[in-house]
Parts: sequence; C-alpha cells; structure tokens
Amino acid sequence: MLRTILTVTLFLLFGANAASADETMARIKSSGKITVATEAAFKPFEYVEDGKIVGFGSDLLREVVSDLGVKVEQLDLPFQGILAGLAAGQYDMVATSVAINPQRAKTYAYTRPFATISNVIMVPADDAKVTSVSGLNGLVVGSQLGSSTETIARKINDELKAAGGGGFANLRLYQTFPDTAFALRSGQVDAIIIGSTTAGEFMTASPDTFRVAAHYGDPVYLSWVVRPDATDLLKSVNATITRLADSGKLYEMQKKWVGIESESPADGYLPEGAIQLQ
Amino acid sequence: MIELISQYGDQILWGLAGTILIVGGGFIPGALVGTALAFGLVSRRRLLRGPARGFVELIRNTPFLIQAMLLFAAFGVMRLRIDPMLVGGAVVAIYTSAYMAEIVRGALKSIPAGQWDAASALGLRSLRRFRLVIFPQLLPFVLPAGVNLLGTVAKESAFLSAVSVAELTFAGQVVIAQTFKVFEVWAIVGTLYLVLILTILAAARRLERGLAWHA
Amino acid sequence: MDYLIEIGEIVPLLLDGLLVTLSICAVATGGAFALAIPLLAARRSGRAWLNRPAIVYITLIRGLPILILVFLFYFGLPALLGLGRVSAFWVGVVALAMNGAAFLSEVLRGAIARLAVGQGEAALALGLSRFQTWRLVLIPQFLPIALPALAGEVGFLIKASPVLSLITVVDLTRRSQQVAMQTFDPLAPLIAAAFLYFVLLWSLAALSRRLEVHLEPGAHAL
Repeated sequence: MLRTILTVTLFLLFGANAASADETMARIKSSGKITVATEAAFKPFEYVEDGKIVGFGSDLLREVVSDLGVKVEQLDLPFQGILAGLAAGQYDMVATSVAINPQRAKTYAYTRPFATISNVIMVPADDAKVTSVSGLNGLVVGSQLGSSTETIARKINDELKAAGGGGFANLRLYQTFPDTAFALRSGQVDAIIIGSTTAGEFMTASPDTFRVAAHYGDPVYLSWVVRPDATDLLKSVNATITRLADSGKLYEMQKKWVGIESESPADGYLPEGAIQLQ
Repeated sequence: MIELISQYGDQILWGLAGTILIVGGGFIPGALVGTALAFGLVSRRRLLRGPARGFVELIRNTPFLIQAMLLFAAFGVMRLRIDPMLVGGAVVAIYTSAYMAEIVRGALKSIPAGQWDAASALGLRSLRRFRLVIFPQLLPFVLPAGVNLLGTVAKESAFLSAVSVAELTFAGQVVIAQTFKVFEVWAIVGTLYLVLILTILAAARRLERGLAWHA
Repeated sequence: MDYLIEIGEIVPLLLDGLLVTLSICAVATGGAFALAIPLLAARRSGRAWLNRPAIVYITLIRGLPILILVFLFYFGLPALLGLGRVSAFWVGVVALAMNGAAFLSEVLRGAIARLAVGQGEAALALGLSRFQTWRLVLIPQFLPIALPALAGEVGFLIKASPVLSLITVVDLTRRSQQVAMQTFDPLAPLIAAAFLYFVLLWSLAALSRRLEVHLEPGAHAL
C-alpha cells in the first residue's frame, strides 16, 4: 500500500515533466534497485570469470548505478529472448552489448553507444582461400542465433545469391559466440561471421588458430537497451556515458578491456524510423 | 498467429521432420544394439558382462543433455566434420541402446530356464533358437516397453536444440529470433510435440493390450 | 594421464553448480510428491469431474518435452500475461515438480492396484479406520513394491534438471559451460560434470537398492 502511494507520488512529481510517463524510473527510485539483464558470453564486454560477471560492461554498469544512486541486480540470460524479456517487463534494462540496427530500433530505445566495432569474417589460420566476402560462396558459415551478426550473415547470403554466386552452402546457427569459435576450430564450419572484438578475443585465447579474412559493412555501434517509454532512465544512462566520454574515462575503459579506443558518437547514431526519435 | 503459421510454418515443419528423422533413425540401430547388449548383460562371461554393464550404467546415470554435449565436444576435439543431424542420431542411438538393454534383460530374466534347454534339446542352435523360441516370448514385454522408450527419447530429443541440431525446438528458436513471437511459437511447437508423442504412446498402449494374452 | 588430472582440477570449480542442482532437485522432488498425492486421489476417486482433469493433466505432461514446458513458462507466459520478472529457479522447480507429479502419481496408482484388494477390506472388518488401514497395512506392503519405481522417477527428475541451465540457472551443467568458455576447452569440463552427475545418480540407485532390501516384508517381525 505504502509502495503504491510512494510510486504514485513520485510518478506525479517526476512524471509531470516528461511527455510520457516513466514508471520504470519511478519504480527504480522507489524500490532503490534496478534490475538488468546481461548475456555474459561476449568477451570483453561482458563475460564470466570465476563465477562473476566482469568486463567493460561491468565497469560501465557500476558508473551508471552509482549515478542513479540505487543497488543493482544483474541477471545472466541468453541473448535469444533478452530483448523480448525487456518488452515483457521482466527487467528494467538490457545491460549487454546490443548492436544498433533499424529493425530493433523500431521497437526498443538505445542508449548512447559506448563503443564501435565492425563485422568480420573469421576463418582458420591456415585457410588462404577466403580473402573477401565473395569467397564465402559455397562454404558452410556459422553465426550466433538471434544476434545482429545472424542478420548480417543472412544479408551477405542474399547479396551473394543476387550477384549470381550461389550463396553459402549452409548457414549454421549456434547458441553462443564461443560455440561458433569451437565449431570453426573443429572444422564444423568453414567461416564464422562475428563482431571484431569477439574475433580479437578468440585470437587471443587461441593463438595461431584463426585469422580475420575480411570486414563487412559499416561500423556497428554498441549500446544498451531500454523500453521506449523509460525516457528518464534513458536520460540518466546517457548522461553517465556522456560524462565518461567527456572526461576521457570511457576511452580508458575501452583501452583496458578491448585494447583499442573506438568511437562513442554523441548523436546521429540512431537509424531512420527509430521509435525513440518520434 | 495465422500469418505466423503461413510465413514460418514451413520452417517449423522442417524442424518436425528433423526430429522424426533423428529419433527414428537413431532409435532403430540403438534398439538393435541394445538387444545385443542385453545378452552381454546376462552372459556368464565376465569379459562380456563387465563392459556391457559399465556402458549401460554410464548412460543410464547421466543426463541426455550432457551426453549430447559430450559427443559434440568429442567430435569437435577430433576435428571431424560430421553433419549435426548424424551426431544427434548417434546420441539418440547410444541413449536408446542402454535403456533397451535393460528392458530386454528384464524380459530375458522372465523366460523360464527350461525354455533354453528345451530348445537346445530339440536340436536348435543359438541364432535359430533365439529367433523361433526366445524372441516370440520376449515380444509381449519388450514391444510396449520399447515403444514407450521411443516416446521418452522423442521428448529428450528436444535437448538437441542446445547443441544446434536442426530439429523442432531449434526451428522454434530460429523463428522466435526472427519474429519475437515467443508464446505463439512455443504453443505451436508444443502442440506438434504433443501430437507426435501421444501418438507414439497410444501405439504403445495398443500393443500392450494386443499382446497381453500372449504373456 | 595429464588430461585426467586436468579434469580432476575442474571438479572443485563445479561444486557450486552441483549445489544448485541438488537444491533444485530436492525442492522439486518435494513438490512432485506433494502434487502427486492429490493427483492420485483425483484419479482414484471414481468421480468424473475429478478424474477427467487429472487424466488431461497427466496426458499433457506425458506428451510434452520438459524443455518446451520450461520455455513456455519462462519465456512464453510472462510475455502473454504481462507478468513482471519470473525467477528462473522457481519456474524450473515448478516445471520439474509438475512433470514428476504426473509420473509419480501413475507409478503409485499402479503399485496400489497391485495390492491385494482383500487387505483393505479385512483391515476395515477388523475395526481399523481408513487412515490406520493405510498406515499400518497397505503402505508397508506397497512401499517395497513402489520403491524402485519411485527412486527411478527421482532419478529421471535429476536427469531432467539440466533443463534449467537453458534458462540461465547456474546449475552443474551451466557451470561446466562457463568453465568451458573461460578455458576455451569444451571437453574437460563436460567430462567433470558427467562424472558428478554419475556419482549423484548412481548413489541414488544404490541407496534405493539398499532400502529395498531393508524394507522387504520378510524383514519385519510381524
């Protein structure tokens, strides 16, 4: 009862400003806790080490949560369904690296990107045949189920077929990115399409096993995701990222975890038709 | 829901076909191997009994999912490129063989010792003796239990989605990744499994009743 | 040999996952037994309005892979009903319990049916109450009969528990996958996990065999 009164009061106090009501933020503030979902299988941004979730994302989460002044509960969920869970209200934010693409932007709101990566094609180190995207014709290609790279892989396949090349021999989808690396290493697939940072991780973990054959497409922005109506939460998270970018701390974090700095655009990162622009 | 079915229905049906293929294609060799294993289990020679018992205990005391992941990892380590459907079928076959071995062993125990001796006395040697005398007596017990096992295995096969085998559950996950229609897809997939498995189980019950007067 | 040592070193890393698996199975087994009793009563009640829903429930559970049941409860229902967050642990436990209850009630029903009908009537004739009949006459007789099948069902529950790893509960299976991602070796952690599952299940089977002997009707001084 008290909680309801509190929530309604905060709603009225804070909601009066916003054009749309942000009950998410109101609930977070009143309960003193934010619940986020992470897929801890994407080194170096979020992964599990000795039973704890660590990585670039964890450092960033710490900053965001301290700016919010609340406690955090972090769930480790599979990527497949993580956005659907957000829409269903199972948690407040998806604090896992999600690539910005037009399809997702129609339903979900993205924070300011905190890093930029590209899509790469990775092959075994001793493979000299694949030097460009067109080299994938007739090969068995792997990617992660439900990820943006799956969409990219399908796109490449369609482009190859349209160009008369015949496309992939087969597109194999795996439950996690590390599964794709195991598959490539054991010869189950000829090539995998993954993010550049993931490729870097695999090459570090298993030297002389893989090589990057080619890049594909435009740079990919990585952000976190909230529901479109959680405008106050979005503002707060963006403010944190901006603070870190302006002070240079964001780029230090990038160097620490990813090894190289990358862009964190302040604006212009949302595709056309993004729901949060409306 | 309707547009979901019309646009993605074929992907899901392909998944169902995959499940039927893997389960059927794995169960039959598994059942045959299991029957042979059963004879090893009851053998008086420890050299046969020991490994047979070890294998059966290993499979019956570990989860199906772990067995599936192990087999895939093993093939991966050996750098063998094998079609995931074949590996899935192999997992099913291995699982089936161990459980079938126990079923047949139980049935063998129930055959009076005199049967074996009488058959030998009539001049029948091992394989013919098995085919003409023992096998018909095993059937009333083994057949219903075996078909029940088929139903169980069909249910376990859903776990193969976790190792990316192109069966029904995996097809459901692929469609969900493209449509985000979580409940609808699982409702459809669940219904398909229900139809498949209840049909198998109904056949088992029919067999049980039909063969009852033999026992 | 080195590989065996490697596997041995992984086992301690998996122990917290084993603990989670054990707690899942313990709670789910309790839930399964608790659910099985009313289910059994409904099945034996002879009244259609109790019997029919029970049959429908048991049929549904028998026909659905537990994986689909769990995915429906964890991913599907919250989306449909607009629920907030659901605990993966409890969704898994409830699914395992519901699954176990259906099979347990059928096992118990079969065991009870095999009891001599006369026993119950004779006990009543001797003046024992319904409750006393069950406690003193019927249960001690059908328990040894039912025990192996009951232990078998608990075993199946444990073998089904890895389903929770697929909805992110950090049980033994998921823990082994985490270690695999960390060490970039998929095989050794799996062998270690398989070993732990084997020890758990084999001990259960051995315990059941020991209890069966102990509970033999002849063992009691009647």
